[in-house]
Amino acid sequence: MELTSLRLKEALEGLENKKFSSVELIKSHIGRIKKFNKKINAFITICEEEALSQAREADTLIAKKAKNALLGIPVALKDNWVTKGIRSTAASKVLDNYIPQYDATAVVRLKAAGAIIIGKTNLDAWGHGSSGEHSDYGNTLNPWDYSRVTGGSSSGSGAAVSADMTLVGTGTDTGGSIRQPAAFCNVVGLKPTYGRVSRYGIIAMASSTDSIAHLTKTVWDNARVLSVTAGFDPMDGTAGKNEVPNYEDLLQGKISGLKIGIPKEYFGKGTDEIVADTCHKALKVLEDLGCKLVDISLPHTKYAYPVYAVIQASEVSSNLLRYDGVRYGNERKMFGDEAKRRIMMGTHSLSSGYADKYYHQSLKGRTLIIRDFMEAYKKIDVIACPVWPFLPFKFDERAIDPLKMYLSDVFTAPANVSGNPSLSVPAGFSPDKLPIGIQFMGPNYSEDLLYKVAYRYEQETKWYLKKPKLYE
Amino acid sequence: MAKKTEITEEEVKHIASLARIILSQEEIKKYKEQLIRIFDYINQISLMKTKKVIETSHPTNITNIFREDEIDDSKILKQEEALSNAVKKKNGYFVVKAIF
Repeated sequence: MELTSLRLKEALEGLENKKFSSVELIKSHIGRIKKFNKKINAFITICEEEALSQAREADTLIAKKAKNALLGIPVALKDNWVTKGIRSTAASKVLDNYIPQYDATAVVRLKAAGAIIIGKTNLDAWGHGSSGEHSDYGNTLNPWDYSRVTGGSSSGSGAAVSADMTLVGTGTDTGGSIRQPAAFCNVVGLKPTYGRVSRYGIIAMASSTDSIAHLTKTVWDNARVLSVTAGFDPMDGTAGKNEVPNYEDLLQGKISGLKIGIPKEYFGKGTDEIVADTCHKALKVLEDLGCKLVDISLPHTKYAYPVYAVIQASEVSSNLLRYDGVRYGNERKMFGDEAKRRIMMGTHSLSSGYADKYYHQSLKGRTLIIRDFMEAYKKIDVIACPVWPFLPFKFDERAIDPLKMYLSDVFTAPANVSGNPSLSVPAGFSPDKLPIGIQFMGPNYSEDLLYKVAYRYEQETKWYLKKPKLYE
Repeated sequence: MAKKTEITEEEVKHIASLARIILSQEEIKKYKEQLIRIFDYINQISLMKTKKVIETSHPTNITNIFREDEIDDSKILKQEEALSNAVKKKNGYFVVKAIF
């Protein structure tokens, strides 16, 4: 049996039943990374020595019958997650030599649960991108078709989970950056409620929409990791105090009678027919399980992206001002093209004479968009829609035109504007065998409900059993 | 329809100086064109009726988060840790460029 083909749940059971050791599990994953990473470029840093030494410790604990949520499990962290003693670049040459002195809160929690960091994954520098093409460390290739993008910005984590290089890949979702690679790589990706997971120690992109979570092979796996990382953190004033259940224990049970809203704005003429058909098929599965499909409208949808663009770029320009090359990192001249463009957009939106027209108008628009969602949730339980308007695209197909690239986020950014959680799950493939995702959105702190719907759908369809064929 | 965006090269230079980034002449030209195109698209937000709408700066409406005013040593970097990533340091201080 190839240990890398396991899912998190099976790996935990195998470790507990001593079918294999954590050292074996880590070795097999590192072996696979070494074999395929030269081509796929999912990892910026591989932590072989540290991981193996932690695996030996985990095995000692397992021998003593110790239990822990992620004991002995390999996880790959997006390289904008700050890790003590491990270079954390955010895929920007500005931070090429940055060795953090502390761990992000989510890293502290993963470690406390027994997880083992096997490496740091590639991304669009600073999280700025939907395709993975804006990394200063090269493109990450989509394991399903090397000529196509993985989706971004959590490109490396999407590819690494999809290619069985890790059991868990973490990410940040500011405008879609976890759900987009999840959908393009046939894996499960969560954008949690804003503040569900602490932002402390996550290199900031847009502070009011940055949502911290992970990509996994299945829904159960995803729920287990959220149970570990979620919860209040005194180091992040925006982290919610709501209790954290064991999400993976809440997956069972019926979903019949649930009302699923289908927003017409997400199935318009801008949406590729294959993508729309695939989502309709997925919805039919849920209907057959007893869910009620309800047509709804979110009238401000067309403003959600431009509102997001202004808020995000404004916060980006503010957050990136801290990089002075004095205390850590390199000088500001090292910023890449995309970072500079967003800094310029944001600075313009905030500048005297324009702030009312752009920044403040967007904050007001944000209120209207939130109201749309709140109105909808009075009538329905969950919203279902595509993650992307189109299929995984080829390198350079959109990157040459920044606006065209930005508009990739039209279906994902609304949940970041509203703060609501959204879960992307595999929904099938195009005739050319390219992965397609569907996302389930719900009211704040409804992650348990989203997982339940997605789990039931996953049980029926099992798209996770389909795997890309890799070559070196 | 919203008005066409006008951004001049002088404005691009002004924005760059506010943002503390240095642009080449080529970049100034490029960003000028790109910003015009992007803000032409963004300008549609002026069509939203927002006269009596309050602003949202934070999506989950948490307010008044306090903590005890106590020092947590585990969250404080020691001097040598704080300096560990500095390119230039002297006698336990960061060295910065002269500002005058």
